[in-house]
Amino acid sequence: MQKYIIRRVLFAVVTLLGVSISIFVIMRVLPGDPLVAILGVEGHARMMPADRERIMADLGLSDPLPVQYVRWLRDIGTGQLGKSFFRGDTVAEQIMHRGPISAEIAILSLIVSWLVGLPVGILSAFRPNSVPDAVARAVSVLFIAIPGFWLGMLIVLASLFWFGYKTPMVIVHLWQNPWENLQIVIGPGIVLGLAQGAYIARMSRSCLLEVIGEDFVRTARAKGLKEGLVVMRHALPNALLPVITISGVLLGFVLGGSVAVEQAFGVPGLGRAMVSAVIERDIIVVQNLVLLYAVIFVLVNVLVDLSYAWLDPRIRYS
Amino acid sequence: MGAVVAELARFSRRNTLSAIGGFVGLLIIVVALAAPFLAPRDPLKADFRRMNKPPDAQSLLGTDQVGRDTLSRVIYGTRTSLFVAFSAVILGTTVGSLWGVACGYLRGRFDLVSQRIMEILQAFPDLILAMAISMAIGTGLPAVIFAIAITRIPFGGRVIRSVALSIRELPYVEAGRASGGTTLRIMALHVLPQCIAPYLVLATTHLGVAIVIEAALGFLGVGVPPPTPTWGNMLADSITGLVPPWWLAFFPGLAITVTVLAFNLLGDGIRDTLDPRLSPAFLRMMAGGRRT
Amino acid sequence: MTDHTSESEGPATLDRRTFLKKAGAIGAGAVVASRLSAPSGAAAQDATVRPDAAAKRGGTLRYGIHSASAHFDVHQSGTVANIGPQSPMYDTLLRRSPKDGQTIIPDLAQRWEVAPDGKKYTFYLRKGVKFHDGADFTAEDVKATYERICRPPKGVVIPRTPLFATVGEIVVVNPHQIEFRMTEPRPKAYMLSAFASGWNIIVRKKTLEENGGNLRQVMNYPGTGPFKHVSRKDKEVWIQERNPDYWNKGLPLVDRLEIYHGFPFSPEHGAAFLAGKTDYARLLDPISWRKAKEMKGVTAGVFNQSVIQAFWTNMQRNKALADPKVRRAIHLVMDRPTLVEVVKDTAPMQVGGFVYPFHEMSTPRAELEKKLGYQKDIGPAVQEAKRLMKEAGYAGGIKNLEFLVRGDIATFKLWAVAIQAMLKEHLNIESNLRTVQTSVWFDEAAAGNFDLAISAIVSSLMDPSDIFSAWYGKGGPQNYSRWSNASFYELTPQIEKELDDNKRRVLVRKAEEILESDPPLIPISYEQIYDAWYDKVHGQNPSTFFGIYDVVRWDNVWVS
Repeated sequence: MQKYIIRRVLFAVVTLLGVSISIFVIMRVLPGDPLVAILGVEGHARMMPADRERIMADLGLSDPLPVQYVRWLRDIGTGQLGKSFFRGDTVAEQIMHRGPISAEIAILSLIVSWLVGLPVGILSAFRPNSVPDAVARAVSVLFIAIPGFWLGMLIVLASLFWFGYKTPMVIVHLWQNPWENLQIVIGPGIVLGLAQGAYIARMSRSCLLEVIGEDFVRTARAKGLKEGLVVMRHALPNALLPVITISGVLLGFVLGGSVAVEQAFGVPGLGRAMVSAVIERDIIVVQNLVLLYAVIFVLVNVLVDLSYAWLDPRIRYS
Repeated sequence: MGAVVAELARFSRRNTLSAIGGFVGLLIIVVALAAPFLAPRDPLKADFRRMNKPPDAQSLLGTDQVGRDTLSRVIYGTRTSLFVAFSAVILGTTVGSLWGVACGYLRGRFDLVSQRIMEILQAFPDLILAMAISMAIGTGLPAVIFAIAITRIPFGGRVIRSVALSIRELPYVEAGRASGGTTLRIMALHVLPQCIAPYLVLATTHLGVAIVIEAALGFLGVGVPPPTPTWGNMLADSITGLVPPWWLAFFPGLAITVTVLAFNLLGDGIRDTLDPRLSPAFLRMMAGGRRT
Repeated sequence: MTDHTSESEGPATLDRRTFLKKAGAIGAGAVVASRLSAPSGAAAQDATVRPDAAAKRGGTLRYGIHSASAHFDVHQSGTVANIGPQSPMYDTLLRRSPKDGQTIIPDLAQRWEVAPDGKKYTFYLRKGVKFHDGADFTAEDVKATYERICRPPKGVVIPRTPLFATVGEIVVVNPHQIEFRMTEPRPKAYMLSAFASGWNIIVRKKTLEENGGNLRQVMNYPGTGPFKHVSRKDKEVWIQERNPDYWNKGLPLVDRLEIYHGFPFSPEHGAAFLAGKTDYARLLDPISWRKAKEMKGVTAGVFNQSVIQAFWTNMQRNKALADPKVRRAIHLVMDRPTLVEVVKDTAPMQVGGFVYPFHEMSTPRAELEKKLGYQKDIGPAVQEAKRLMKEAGYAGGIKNLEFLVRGDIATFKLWAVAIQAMLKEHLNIESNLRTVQTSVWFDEAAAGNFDLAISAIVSSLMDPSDIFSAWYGKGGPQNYSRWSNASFYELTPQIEKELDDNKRRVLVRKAEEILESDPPLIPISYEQIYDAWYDKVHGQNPSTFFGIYDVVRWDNVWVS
């Protein structure tokens, strides 16, 4: 087990290093001058080459690439997540301020997906090929197909048009004003949650069906146990495991999909910050935020793997 | 020929929903191919006398702010979106699968390094990766295709690698190795054929994802550049004022939904047919199982 | 220049209904006429801003404006994202009166004198003014500020530098008197406008010294203004509070200013105002503005902005475009009223030529609309254009022009498609749209990698001398076409120096003629600004303002 843990963690570190190098290179290769956004349109127009050199040097963009890369890693190591080119906001501040919103959306969507997906999946497995089952399956497939950002767009338009409603203008955290905070995160949370829930419904349905057909369940039934009890005590736990696995992957889906959905709802989360940073060529922000997302993703996956390994006696006792 | 038709008929009877999906998908492909004949007007042509018209007899889906016909743009959008999605998925899944076969069969160092590279690719939120790559290599159709393809590689790699791993141990493959066949030969002759079924399932599943990613890129303003009509672009363009004309916001999104739905249903059916036993385990693997 | 007193009714004398009718009569194509007026000597110099007698004190004003600036250095900026949220915290030497947005009145300078030969400007500064950090305001701070503006240090780029190109020595006579000695005289109105520009905020000499002359990353540097910084959340809100030690006793009237970020013309911005989340919104999109007009208890205003929307023709790279006949032909086939109509739901625009259509030196609008290229019926213009193309040898049209478009902005995307269609239909000029991000656009435009390119450019003043150098100057940074014209450059120094208004007007018209026949850019339209506010907001009435950079201090505004 020890060896497994060490190996797994080592691989994770390698992966993260790879991510950091990739995003570093990509951001340096992007065409387009970050100075346009920094100096503004007129300022950039009047810039002399000498000015440009001085500004690039100030920003640390004129050193050789390996130097810049090492400096970046060292900054992260010392906890300095760098400053945005613009306004001197530090990335750390941005993360502290917007991070909770994006995190809430992710967690909310997870809860919604389980609350909606599991019951639907279980119900379908109970009565396979019946009408409710067909409806459930159709709806699941539908929710997987509807693009989240389109749904978000329509919801915003509808609420504006019919109710004259507009979400709060400023970020309000959960600990400041729960009601306003809920208004901000609920739209994206539900939209993302429903899409994930569809995957979970399908997954749990097929896993459950497979397990229900197995021997030990038949034995339990033969022993005279009630249907419901059979499912709950024997089938469900076995079916849950793959569903938990898929949640790890769905996290990747949420991290990626939240970007467009945040944009559609106008929620000022980290995903949107990432998009505007890429467009503005705010190199440091992009690098650090992408790395952050990668760290979260890798961390969750390592945890899932470790728990699998712990559950698997072959590895646990090796 | 008759056998194929009979096969299709049996498939349709058993998986009606999937067959409908396949049929709709086929229709959509036809629309994409026949766009120049089907579209009532040039999707790029502005018509200043008919700006911002709601759906009426002359423009079935209305017109946009410069008078371009929405129906024509949706039809041509089908062409672009499908072209991007198909190319990206085929490119990405094929490269990923071949890579996966090599990993699964060769194992060792090659496998280890490849696994890490694929993990790196998967650790990026796929939208951001696609965005960054397509902007880095210069936005345009090929850039977007390439960018989306890269995000699909790890999925192909993982699944096909598992398949290759399990096939590797099979007796007849061992026999092949023992009798002195070259690695390449064995991979091509014995391993590859077994991968075709999972490859097909993968491709159809990811088609829908690719379409949505392309639309999302367009929606964020970093996809295929205008004036080429894509569904994502059209959605982004529709938000030019407080209350956009509903027909500009609704129809492109509907097109995306129907297309993704059709291909997903088709993919479901194919998966169920090709290897129903493997279904849940398959889902597990496609979900990126790390067990093996 | 006319005396302010002989003016047509200013908004203060109009009752609201008449004003609204006038504002309502102004569709996307028309404009509120505004005339530049001279400070009429003593009368203007006494007119410091005083609070309205009926004003209530206290309360919070919630203001919606673009405030997601790229940096914090107001001098180095040209965008409303800086001046909008930051200007309440600073004062200038002179300012435009918030009553009409035109009259130049004292600010930090209590009195001023202009030497008869126009080569010396003396400002007598107020005593007892303090910065927000308690430091005293003296002429040294003015000198440091203006030295920076006139001769920026390395690495600092200030768009207003050309306005002060003739400022030689800046001399501090005593702590409350400062002299600007000019190397060459300029028209008085021109220089005073420059000093009154909202951009030229006075900062502390110490602040500049402590930050190496670069304030881009300094969010809160002290000013002398009516409001002080409290807190800021990027892209959300900037909170400022009343400065209790403000030199203008009795002002400001509100206790707190909450400046909410609203991207211009965006649905979020309009929705926030309509839902009552902001009390005053600037740069609203037309749909929200029209809704606001219909709402009870809301006033909707419109005024002119200091921006021209145009597209450029790369004369260096493309032989055909280098020919003035071809460019004039392109200029003529633009159906300007339709172009304004195309974006009518996206942004407010008005038809104009090469100079601001509402400036009193320019050809008046009524006359302009009779000229080819500005008429509602484009038939005659198209005919003339075709004739010119034939004469130039391009009767068959031109192929494969690369049209560079800034894709982040909806108006440019829409216009590019429309312009492309117009060029093809009338002159058989075929172009391919290349849509890129703004930052890429500027790279490419500077490098000359385009044949046609569409964007918008700004001037600090309405005055033709500013435009002629900022937009059409030889080798100027915004002269994307790489245009030059000898006779034009002979005229511009004359226009800069001419102190007699009538003679100057004649010269400006001559210059316009040259531009019409040899276009340096193809004008599309001039921008307007849509503001809306709830009736509880008093004291801000922008109908005669020019631009959104001068009257932005909120000191005389109160909420009921």
